[in-house]
Amino acid sequence: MRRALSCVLLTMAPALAGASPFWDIPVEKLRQAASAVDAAAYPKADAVIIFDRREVEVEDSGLSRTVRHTLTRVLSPAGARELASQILPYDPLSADVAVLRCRVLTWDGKVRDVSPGDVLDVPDHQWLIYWNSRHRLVPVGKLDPGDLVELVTRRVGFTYALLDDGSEGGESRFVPPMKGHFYDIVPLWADVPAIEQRYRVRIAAAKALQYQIYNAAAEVSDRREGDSRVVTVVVRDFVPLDREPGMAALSDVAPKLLLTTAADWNAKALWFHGVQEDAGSFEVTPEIRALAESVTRGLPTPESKVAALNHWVAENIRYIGLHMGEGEGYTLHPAAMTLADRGGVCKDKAGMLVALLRAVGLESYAAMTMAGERIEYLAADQFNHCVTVWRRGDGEAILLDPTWIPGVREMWSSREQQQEVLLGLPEGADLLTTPLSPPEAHPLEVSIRSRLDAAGDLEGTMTVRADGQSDAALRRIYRNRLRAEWRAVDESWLVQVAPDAELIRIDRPDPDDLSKPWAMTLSFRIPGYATRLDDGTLLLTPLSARHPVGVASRADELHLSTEPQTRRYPTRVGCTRLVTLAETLTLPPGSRVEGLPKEARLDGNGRFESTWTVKGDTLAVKETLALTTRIVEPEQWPSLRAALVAFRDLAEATLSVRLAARKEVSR
Amino acid sequence: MTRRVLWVPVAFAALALAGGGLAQPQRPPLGAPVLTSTAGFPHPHTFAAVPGPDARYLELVDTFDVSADGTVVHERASRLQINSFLAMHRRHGESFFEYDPTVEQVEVIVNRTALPSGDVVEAPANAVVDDLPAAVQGNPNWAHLRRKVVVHTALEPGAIIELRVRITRQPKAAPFFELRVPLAADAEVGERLVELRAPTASGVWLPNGFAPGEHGTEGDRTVVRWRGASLPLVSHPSAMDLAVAVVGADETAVRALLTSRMAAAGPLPDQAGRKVTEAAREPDAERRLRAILKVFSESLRTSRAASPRGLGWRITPLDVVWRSGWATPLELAALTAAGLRHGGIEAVPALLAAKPGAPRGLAGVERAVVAVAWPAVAGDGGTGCEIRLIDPVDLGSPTPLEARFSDADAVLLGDLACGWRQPLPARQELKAVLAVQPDGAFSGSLGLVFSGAATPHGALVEDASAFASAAASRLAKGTKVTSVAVTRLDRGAAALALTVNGALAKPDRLGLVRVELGAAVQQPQLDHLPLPPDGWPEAIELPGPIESVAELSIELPEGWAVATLPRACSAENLLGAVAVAARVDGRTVRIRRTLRLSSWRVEVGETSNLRALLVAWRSPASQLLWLRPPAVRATEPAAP
Repeated sequence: MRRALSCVLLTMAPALAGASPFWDIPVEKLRQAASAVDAAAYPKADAVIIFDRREVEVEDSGLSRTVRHTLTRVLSPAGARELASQILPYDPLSADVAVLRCRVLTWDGKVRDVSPGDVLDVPDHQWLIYWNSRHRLVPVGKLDPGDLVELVTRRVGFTYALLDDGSEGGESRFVPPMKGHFYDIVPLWADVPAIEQRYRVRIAAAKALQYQIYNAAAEVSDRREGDSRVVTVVVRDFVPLDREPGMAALSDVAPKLLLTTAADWNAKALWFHGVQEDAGSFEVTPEIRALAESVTRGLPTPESKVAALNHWVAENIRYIGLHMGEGEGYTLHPAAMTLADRGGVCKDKAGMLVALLRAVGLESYAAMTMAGERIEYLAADQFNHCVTVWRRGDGEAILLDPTWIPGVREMWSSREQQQEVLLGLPEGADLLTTPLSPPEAHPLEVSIRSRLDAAGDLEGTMTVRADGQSDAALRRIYRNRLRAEWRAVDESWLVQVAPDAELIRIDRPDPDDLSKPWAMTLSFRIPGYATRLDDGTLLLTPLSARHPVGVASRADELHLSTEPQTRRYPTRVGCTRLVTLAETLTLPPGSRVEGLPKEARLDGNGRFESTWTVKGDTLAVKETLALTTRIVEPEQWPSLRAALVAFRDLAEATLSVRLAARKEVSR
Repeated sequence: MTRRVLWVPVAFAALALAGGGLAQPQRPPLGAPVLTSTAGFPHPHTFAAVPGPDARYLELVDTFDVSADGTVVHERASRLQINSFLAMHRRHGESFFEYDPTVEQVEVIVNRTALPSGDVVEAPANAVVDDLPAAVQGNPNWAHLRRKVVVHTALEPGAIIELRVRITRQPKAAPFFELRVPLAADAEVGERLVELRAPTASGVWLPNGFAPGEHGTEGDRTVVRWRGASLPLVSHPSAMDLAVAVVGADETAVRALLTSRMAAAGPLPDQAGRKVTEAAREPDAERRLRAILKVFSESLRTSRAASPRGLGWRITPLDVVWRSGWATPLELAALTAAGLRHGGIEAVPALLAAKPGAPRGLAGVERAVVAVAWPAVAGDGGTGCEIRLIDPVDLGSPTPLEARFSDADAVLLGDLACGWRQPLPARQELKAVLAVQPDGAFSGSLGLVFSGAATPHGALVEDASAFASAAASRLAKGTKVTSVAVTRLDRGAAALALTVNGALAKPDRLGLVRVELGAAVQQPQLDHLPLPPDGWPEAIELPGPIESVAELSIELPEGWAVATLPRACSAENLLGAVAVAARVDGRTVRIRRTLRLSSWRVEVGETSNLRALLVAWRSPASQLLWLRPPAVRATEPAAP
């Protein structure tokens, strides 16, 4: 195990400069700062951050060094356990982090130093992406409530490993590849309260630094010091957000600071394009050309070729991250490497597809996006995902995502609608937001034809049709289970609501075959489905209204919490969706139905319609629910909530079926 | 706090301060000129899955060669055919080997893929990576452990992953070597071989209760082979047959070594001792015990998943553990036992089987606990005390371990001259006698009786009122407890008498009142069990012998009627029984619901028994009582 020896040199730097560093604060003053904070004001918190101060120096090259000084008070045993060690992650190819000071100011007036020499350098535990990421492990040691933990760290470099050729020594490998540029994404939120969060950056005035604070008020100073510009942002009295079920990502709603010297997204797009082309990521080798031709042989249109290649990459290139050394990060692996490995992460799958498309003469590029979080319109790098663009003959840019469409009958996953994307086009591009995918593109139709006998037994057939993301949700249940368990999946469509249901027959497609929308038909019998009451009537809720397929697939329309009447923050559902439940229930002859719910018709973000009618001996149920957006703004929530509540209420609505007297039947 | 954060997004006045044409960036427009709707695109079938099982080991071989100096060379060789999307993309893309680089070396000798075309593709060098085992993440005392990740590349349906890995363990790792390898795997296995070669002079101990091996000698070496063919996949390691052998020690010697390691870990650190002394001032014995236990569970963060065996049964010195604020379960057990002794309670660390009835002795144990000598109530065999087993990692566990595990399931690392209670099935009994008022409000009594492994001893010692409130609220939402009396409380039995009041649900559109009984007598251990259809591929682990009886007596007010009783049902087979019965006596509804499960496991081929019981237990109709208040009582005669 490597020890963090570099910290010895780092701690010398300020001394050589002859000035006391900002973080060199006497213990008494630290205690004084902490004593000004009333711990009783945070009865639910396990710790409170007294201050979190960052000083950032940016060189002309764009290389940045951040010294961070934090003081945290432990408030509870859980807080003591949590802070007993601290993890400082870094990617060795693009960044480094060292501990300058760590000490514990104990509740009983003592001071315990944790030597920077005891800091451990440890590989991360990794999963699927084996990029050799590491962390410094600070062994703070056992703490007690009331203790103060002071930590000073120095970080140099960037979050991502970019286009360093590895030939330069020292810290040059930490210089960002977009030479001379600087950006930072500073979360100003935490799991515990923070009294003072301060960020100060010193940068050459000539670099046109832009910055913005989101979701918080702040004190700001922006001034010149010689040739430098010094920006200071202070956010005070942060308290952790009250989480709401299903809420949008914290980075969308919690305080944060973004800074960048990139002029705009167009500049970033141009850079991104150039990086990939220069690196030869999309080079078409003979093997790639042969594969592309083989996959597209006989296909008549560009669309059919694009579809075949996109699905081929989605299904046959495994999601796995191998580290290719220098250039990992924003550089897409050479497509030939991805093909040989038959594996890669999102960027490598995207690059593989670009190369295959180019191999058959189609114009294609890579693009960056941020799955699950919003990209703000300030050109700081806020990306976690990479996709592919096909530029059609008419110039239209079409997004393709081979990472998110395994088992999905889409070219681009609609789970990424209302999401920002930056196209790496040769002429550059502005940041775009992907459009809504209408609920009609993701239908789930459950149609039941059933018959209830006088004993209360129900039998019938249930047909389930789905497409888009609703199709994928059903297919995924099979594809994620062992084949030996598929029979249990077949039964799950009914037994989760009726454990004694007998599945007589099922016809369903091969889950791997995407050529047709999902369609399955189940024949079933449920003994004693209806309950007989004291007066002889039968009591039941129509099977369709109980949405058995939604129960088995843990559908959003059943599981998104409706507990909050109102919301402060946006809500995120998996995808827009159109659910149709229909049932034609043949009743025992001459029956009379009581308790039919009224027709419902709700409009808004959640659209819901229902009609339950009886004609002759037939009960007809028809319910339609549409989730119309993936991101639901707080003002849209009441409408969606009303629709969901109405939909779920019907799943509990009981009808009584009064059977005809014998003579009525014979008549 | 004197100031509050404003939650309104701030357009940031600083931009104005900065001046100089820094316009406020705008959000991009929704539906900007990019197309994501690809309606009309075809969706070809591009994944050519191979029929058959998802994956199958054509061959799986583990050989262990023990030298006279104690060096152990373990070679694993496998050929695994992957057929499905699940196998290729999710289950078999990587192989993992955890090791301690201070005493072990892992070499990947072969990592290649044989394609259906006949081509063989060697994995690149960057397909082998060292990282940190998740179990010790954050724990500075064990941060030196590593996991070798071997990524398999060039995968496609029908391909065969060929892997050969050699793990060499130095003699200094331990004075004995324990071989412990599952015969089955997470995919079907065509041919299976586990082979041990060791100097006969070292002694090879084959504990009872594990997979039998062929035992022989070749010259001065003992050779043991375990063979298997056409083995079905097993998902849960605890359900696998194990090949087990110990070289260089027998049960007694291994136990002596582990006991000496506990002693060598040093005494209780002074600071911990002071905290224990403080906690030991609690006058009530039960509360004193819990207070001391909490000194350690609240002070230390635990690497919960770090199994004692996985860490080579090693233990960090206790003063280092205490100062670091981090412990493994074994270290926490050792420290806690030392703390209890300091507080005047006899205790030793102990090792416990993963489940009761597993193969006995040291070879069968999996987890670390604390064995405590506690004054006996009765049946202690004259020792005056009986043994309690406590998991220091999970003090919140409400029921006593020693009610499930016998002395044969545990190995004490030290001496406690105490008797063991006989484990008893978990039994719980609920008797509710409720009287409903005309407005739907009800009041009455609730009696709860527990015995054996169902006894919520810890929860009742901690907060009997909270336990009672939770039990009452399961009768009907909002039910309140008006009085609680704990009429019996010991480790193996407890009883509570509550008085409660609450209200039934309001009548629905049909004028019916729905009373759900399922929650009142819940058995959450059963909720996660699959409803196995015919042909379920593997054995299913069960929560063990349990018995639950619920009797509800509900007196209805004048004018109320029973619209329908919970549907009677019964199922009984070798695995257990479920029965629901209900009747009306005058104005009183009497419901009895029972469950008995007699086993820890359902074997392949017998899963229909489990299905029958679960279907009966989960049947919605058997859990619902419908009442008809007078306002809408039916007046028409019942249909024939």
